[in-house]
Amino acid sequence: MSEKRDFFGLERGEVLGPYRARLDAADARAYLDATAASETPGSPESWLPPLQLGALLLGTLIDAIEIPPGLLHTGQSFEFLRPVAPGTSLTAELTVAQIAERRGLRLGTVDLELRDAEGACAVGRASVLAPLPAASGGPA
Amino acid sequence: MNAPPAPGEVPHVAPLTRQIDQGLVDRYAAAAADPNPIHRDTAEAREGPYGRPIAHGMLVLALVSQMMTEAFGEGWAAGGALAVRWRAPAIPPVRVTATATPAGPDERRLRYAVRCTTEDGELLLDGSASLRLP
Repeated sequence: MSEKRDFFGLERGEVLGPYRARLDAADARAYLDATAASETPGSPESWLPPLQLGALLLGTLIDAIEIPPGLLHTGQSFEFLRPVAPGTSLTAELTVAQIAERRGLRLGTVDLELRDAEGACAVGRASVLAPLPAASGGPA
Repeated sequence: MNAPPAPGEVPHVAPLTRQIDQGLVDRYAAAAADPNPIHRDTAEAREGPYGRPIAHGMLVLALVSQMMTEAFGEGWAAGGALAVRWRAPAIPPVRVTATATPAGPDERRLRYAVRCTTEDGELLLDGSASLRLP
């Protein structure tokens, strides 16, 4: 992972990545254990828990930017386009879709894409907000 | 797992309830490699707006995905979609229930309204889930 980007310096259209990743069946079992989930027929031996792909994308975002104090993850969408087998070589790419500032807050939406050898296998969009530095100290 | 739905039918999805305690949150932080201190017993969490650690939003959302996986199996992995907003933090220990209410089919997808609530009825997240029809 290259140097982290400052959340307050992100610009619309900026692309972060690509970042390479791989999840194996042991990772999937750890994820299921950590979400109090049970195994289901075929998973995780044949296909990874879909939201683990989302967690991977979000983790990539967390790794890619410097998380400012007070950052809130307010909304999230994901679409799982096809099952992904454990051990598949994956590439994550993040694109800053929107940046806005109002009422002392910086709001950002980031498009998330996970690809395997066939193309996109999971996509999503994360919405976050954080107090602008000048406003984060509270009233003067 | 449900049989393929008849045309125009949106199958029932059974609710899913899980206890989220700090041990589970700690395991999720490790599994997701999430370093955010607000989820652990840290000064940042204690001095934050809730005075204690809060669960990851993605841990709460995992109940929704698990509920849909239990209902649709690999079909959820092959064409499921979620769009949610978090409405309140889940503060462990808390018992959370995920539900899916049929919101009608269209030509391409089965659609549900989804939500996660505490046993006190507090809304933690809401939004939509859908599944691509074969």
